[in-house]
Order: sequence, then structure tokens, then C-alpha cells
Amino acid sequence: MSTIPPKLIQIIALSLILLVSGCAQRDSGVGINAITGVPEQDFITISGTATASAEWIPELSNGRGNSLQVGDASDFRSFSVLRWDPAAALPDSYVVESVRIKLTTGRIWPSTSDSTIYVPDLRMIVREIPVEWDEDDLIPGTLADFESFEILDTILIDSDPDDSVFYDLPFELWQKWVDESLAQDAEDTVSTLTSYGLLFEPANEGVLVEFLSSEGGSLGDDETGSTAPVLRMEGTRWDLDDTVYVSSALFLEQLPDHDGYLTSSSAEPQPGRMIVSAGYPQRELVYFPLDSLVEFTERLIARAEFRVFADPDDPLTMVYPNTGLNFKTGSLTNSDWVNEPDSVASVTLRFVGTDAVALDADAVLLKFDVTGIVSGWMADPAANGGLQIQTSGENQFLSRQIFHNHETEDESKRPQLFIWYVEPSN
Amino acid sequence: MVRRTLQLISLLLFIGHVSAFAGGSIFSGNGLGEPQIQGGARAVGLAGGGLGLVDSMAFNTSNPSLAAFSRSALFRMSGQLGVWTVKSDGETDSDGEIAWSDFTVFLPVTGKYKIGLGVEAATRVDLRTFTPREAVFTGSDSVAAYEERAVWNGGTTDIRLVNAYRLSDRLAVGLTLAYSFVNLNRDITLDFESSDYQNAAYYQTARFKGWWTKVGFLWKPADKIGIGAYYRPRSGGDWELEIFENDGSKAILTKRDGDTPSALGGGLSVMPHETWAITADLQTQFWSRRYLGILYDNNDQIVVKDPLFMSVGVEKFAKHDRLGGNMGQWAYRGGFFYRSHYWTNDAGDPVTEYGISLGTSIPVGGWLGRLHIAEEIGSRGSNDFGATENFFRTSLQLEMSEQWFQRDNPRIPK
Repeated sequence: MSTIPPKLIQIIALSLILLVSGCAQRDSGVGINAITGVPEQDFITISGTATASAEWIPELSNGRGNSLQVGDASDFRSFSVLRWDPAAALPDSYVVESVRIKLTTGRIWPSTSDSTIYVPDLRMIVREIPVEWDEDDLIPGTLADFESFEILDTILIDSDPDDSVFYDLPFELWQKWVDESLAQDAEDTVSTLTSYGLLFEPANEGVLVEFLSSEGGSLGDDETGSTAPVLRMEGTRWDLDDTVYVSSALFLEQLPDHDGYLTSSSAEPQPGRMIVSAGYPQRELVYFPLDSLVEFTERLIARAEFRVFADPDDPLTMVYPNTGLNFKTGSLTNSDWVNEPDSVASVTLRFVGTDAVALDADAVLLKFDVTGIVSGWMADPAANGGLQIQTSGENQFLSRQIFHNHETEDESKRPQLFIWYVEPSN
Repeated sequence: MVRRTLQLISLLLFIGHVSAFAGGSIFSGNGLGEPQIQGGARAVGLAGGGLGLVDSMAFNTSNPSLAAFSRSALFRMSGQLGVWTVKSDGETDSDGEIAWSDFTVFLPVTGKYKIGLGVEAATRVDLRTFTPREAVFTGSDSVAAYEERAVWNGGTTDIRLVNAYRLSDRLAVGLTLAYSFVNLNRDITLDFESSDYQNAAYYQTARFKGWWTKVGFLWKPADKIGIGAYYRPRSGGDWELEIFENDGSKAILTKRDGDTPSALGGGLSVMPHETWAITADLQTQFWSRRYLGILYDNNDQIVVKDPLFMSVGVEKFAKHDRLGGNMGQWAYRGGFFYRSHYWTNDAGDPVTEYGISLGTSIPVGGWLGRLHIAEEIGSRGSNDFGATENFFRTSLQLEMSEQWFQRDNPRIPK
């Protein structure tokens, strides 16, 4: 029986040694210049200006914000609404002797620290709300006929920040709230309510006052007073101690079940400008055509920046003093709004940026990193629905920032998209 | 027979196993890759020549007519081990590679007509680089550091059907019909240091498939002189390109028709003594930029040149080394080569290489077969960028005649 010849075995063994010993791993760029078609180190930055912009007013409720707003200034008109259910907080045996509402002021616009600007005091009209409302549904148009609500009183408020404002609630109204609440508990299914809290509207122009909401303020304790809006009830209470009722002082501060504010805006931007506001949420849509970029499918986006320029001198600019505004961007699902302005109302967001950015030190330039968004457009050009700008706290306090739009007379101030891209040299 | 077959299979598995755990020439990232010296390890030992030399079963298979002079079934398989050392910008780097080269079987159909069926690597791409670079974004003041990691791999594989017909003892013609598969992968990642920039990654695969043919002849005007030549006309095929990028898993499949260049080669062999032979060969191709393939379609800057391979070799035969004769002794050979490739540097000058080759043929199992070992030592360069490469390539080829497959013990009829 034949076997593999010994010489062959020796040769194979020698070959094995040669084969194994020669293995090494090149892992460096030495000699890379010998290869044709290596990506160049010079990459490209291109920029373009927007070709379209539009205003988008989403119907958002700011009932969950930290602020309540009352005032009429800078083309904003705001009124606040609050609603309590006092029966829920009262003990079984009590006598209430006084009921008052406490509000705490926050920011004032215009600034009261500038002595050259006259800031009037705010006179508020207090109305009783006869229709049902919910703080999560305070979208524009809610309580549209508020001026028909019964006026209960007016309050004059000093335009001082961090000040407390008291309104003595008519006792009959408080009693009605308690009685209706108890009756509602008994009925369970049929509404017996006829009173749904109070509405505070401005009676004069020229000032905007922020009050802290139930979300923005807090209940007080033995050492600090409440900063949230509260219904303060004082009197006497009796509690059962074994078999005897013992009286004690009644002092209750109750947070409202629902509170929020509604704003209307009559601001019209001048030509070449666009409005981004909070409190009255207003967003701007901007479109950049990328046809000349996406046709080269090998280009990959290394970085993309969306730049917009504010006009701080525009008279419609309204920002509370010592308040920094942050903004966010996002992408839209389609670009129908570019050619069909009426379709703006149906535009939807595809992606909202998570990072909030502020204007630069000169309060002029706003830069957003939109690398992910533009990269997605390169992969799917049909997804380019444009970008939007919004404040990062749309349901918070009132503010309005004016930006230059795509038609502004100064071309260097038009919204710009900067793209840094890379591609293989071949 | 069974034992021989098992031994053959085990050897085949050993040599045929390709471990992609190393890199090849730095120039293999160009075009279709680094051209492989075809024809067998004996041809490598003769500096890539021997187109006009037919004296044993170790003939140069690049000339299809040479198979006509074999008298028995042949099997050959080969692989190579290479080490490349690059010098560029004052730095050096080395890498090595193991790869298969050739599996071919030749069978006699008639006394004059032989066919061969085989698979051969025609080009090879095997390279990985890791380079710190700085991106300059023109049009802005931005500069960003990044790491470029690139992997090139792939190559060309030909499946060949060789037809050889011996018209007389002095003249033979041949025809090769082959199907080529080209697979070129380029994976490039740009990893930016700063998180302000998104990393970029390209994964490109270009494939080509197409038929080609080659005709060849060998003429022996005298007993000691052989003239061989081949011609391979330009042939067509189809390219397709897939690109995957990291901006959304985008895949683009583009296609176009393609061509492979025509080729012409010829060689002269002279035997001044019955145990000595001198060979001289010249091979060239006729290139167009379009032949580089679909990966280069958007690059108008690349220049290609017609390559030229020149080789001169000398061999001392083993005693009684004739076809079908006694193969009891070793053969030795050596040569000198000069090659000008179709790749060019940015100045438009072709990349050239020169070197020497050495080889030996060792009889295996007496009459059974041969082990050919060839060593190439050369230098290749692109002077404009200062990138030069020294290479050491070892080719191993095992050849077995049909006696390998015969029974050890003939059956004795009862």
C-alpha cells in the first residue's frame, strides 16, 4: 500500500512554514498615495438661501405651562382663566369667613427697570365663566365669546414683579361653587355646574403681566407664602376628637384644578420678516431646494447647519427682560406648503430637534445643527419638506422674536443652509 | 486509487485554503488590481515567460497551444505567498499575503487534441490602510481631523476551457474560452474626531462578468527553437455597481456594459544544449480608461497606458526531463523581468517594476509529479509620490500526471 512519499511530506512541511511565516498585517497609510481614487482631503462646503417660507400656527394649549398671562401690549392680548373645586378641600364641619384668590406676579413687559419707558399699571377685569373648559383644550378660539361673561369686579395691579395680588371672591360665588360641587358628586352623571371659575382680562393697554401658574408656582408652608395661584379659605373648622368636636382655625390654600391663558395676536410682520413666538405658538417654515446636491448620490453629509438671522430692532420683538429665549428646529413631512400656502395648516412634523439653541452674543444669529435631517434628505430627496423654527417653550410665557425671511432686502440675512460634504475622489 | 484521491484532496484543501489575514501590494488598490503572473509557477520562475517553450507538463498555460504537446492527463494547483514592503514619505510598512493561483486539469481527448479546464486568478486586490488625515472644507474656514480607514479587496477569476490541437510535431494551435468574474470591493470610512461632523462610510462593490477568448500557436522551426504567441481580442461584459452609504443605508445599483482589453504576447525559446533553454518574452495589452470599470466612471483625471511585460529567462532541465519520460532530478531556472503597468501616477507616468526570478522543480514521488517553487524579487514604484514597493513572491505549484490516479495494486482476475 502506497503512502505519501517522505520527500513530499518534507516539502509540504517546508511550504507550511513558509506560508505561515510570511503573514503580516498592513495597517497604516504608508504608500496610500500609490492608489488612484483615494478620497481627497479637500471636501466641499456649499451654502444656499431659502427659497420659500411660511407661517404656521399650530393649535396648542398652554394650560400646562408655568405661566399665566394678562395684558394687552405689543400686539398680544391675553387673558387668564382659573377654576377651583373648593368642596374637595373643605373638612366635614366648617365655617368659612373669608375667601380670597392670591396671584403672584412674575415678569412684566415692558421692563420696569428702564426709567425711560412708561409702564402703566394693569387693571384687570374679573368675569365669571359660565361655560365648561379644560386647561388641556385652551387652543386659539376657545371661550371666544368671553366678553359676554358677567363682570364681577376689576383689580388694579402695580406693575411690580414678584408681587402678590389678592382678589376677594364674592362669598355668594364661592358658596355656589361649593353647592354645585356637592350636587355634582351626588348626581355623578348629570352636570349641575353653572360656574366654571374666573377669567381675568386686561382693561388697559401697554403692559403684559406674567403670573405664576399652578405648574410654575408652589404652595407655601409655615415659612414661605404660596407663589402658585391659590384659593385661600379662612374660618373655623371642627374635627371629632374621640366623641367631642373640637374647633380650630381653618386656613386652606387650594391649587386650581385647571388654569391657563389664551392669547390673540394681531402682529403682522413687515415685508422680509417672519415671526416665531411662544405663548401664542407661531412657527416659521423654511424651504431649501437641494436638487443640485442630491443628484450626486455619492456625496455624504459631514455637517449641515441651518442659520437664521434675527432682527432685534424690529418693533414687534417682545422678550421679557433678563429672559433668554431658546429655539428648536425640525423637519417637515412634505413640501406641499411651498406651492400651496393653504396646506400649511395640515403640515406635520417628521422630526423635531432635541437641542435648544439660543441667539449668539449679538442676539442676531441662530445656528441649528441639522446634519441628521439633511443626511436623511440625501438618502431620500422626497423627504425634503423643509425646516421649521419654533421656540423651545411654546406653551410658556409670551415672547416674540422676529427673523429675516427668504425675501428680506439684505441677502446676507436670508435663512441659509450650510452643508459640508465628502465624496470619493472618483 | 482511493488513497491517492484522499491525499490529493487533503493537499488541495491545504493549498486551496485562502486566508485573507494579510494584505498585498499597495498598488493593488488601482484599477482591476495587481495583475497575477499567469501560466504557472514554472513561468514565474522564468520571469513570467516561456510562451515558446514546451518540454514538460509544466508549460506556460498563457499560450493555449502548448497543452497540445502533453501526453497524459495533468492536474496542477498553485498558490502564492507574498511579502510587500512599501516606502513612502520616509516611512516603511510591510505586509504579506497568502492566496491561491490556479487549479487546472488537462485531459487528452485524442492523440492530437487536448482540453484543459481550470480556474485561475488573473488579478488580485488585497489592501487595508489606516491613515490620519485632515479635512479641508473649501468654501469655509473649517478644518477637521479624521481617520481614513480603507479596505480594498477582490480580484479577477477566470474559468477557462483550453483547447489545444497538435497539427504536427512542430506546430500546434490553441483556443481558450473563458468566463471572467471581477469583484472589487472598496470600503472607506472617514471617522471625524469632532462630534460636530458626522462620519462618512462608503461601501462600494463593482462586479464584472464577461466572456473572452484567446488564440495561440507554437511553432518549432527547428528542434531547439520554439516560437509561441497568443492573441486575446477585446471582449465585452457587464459591470454593475452597488453603493451603500451610512446616511440611510442607501443602495444604488447601476449597470453598464464593459470591456476587457485586448492582449498580445509572444515568446522565443532556444535550447543551446539539450539540458538548457533560454527564453525571451514580450506581452502587452491595449488599454482604455473605460476598461478600469464602473468605479472610475466619474474620474476624468485618470490616465491609463498600455502595459508592457518583458522577461528573459534561462532554465537547466532535469536530466531526461521529457514529456512522459523519467523525472528523477530537479530543474532550475531564473530570469529577469521589466514590467510597465497600465496604472499611472498623477504625472501620467506608468508604474514600473523590475526584478529577478528564481525557480526550481522538484520531482515528487518519482514518476508521480512535480513541485514547482518560484521566487520573484522585485521593486515597483511611482516616483512622483515617492511610494516604492519591494516585493518577494513565492509561488508553489503541484503538478501530477495521470499516473497519480492509477491503482496501486491492479486487480488480479480470479
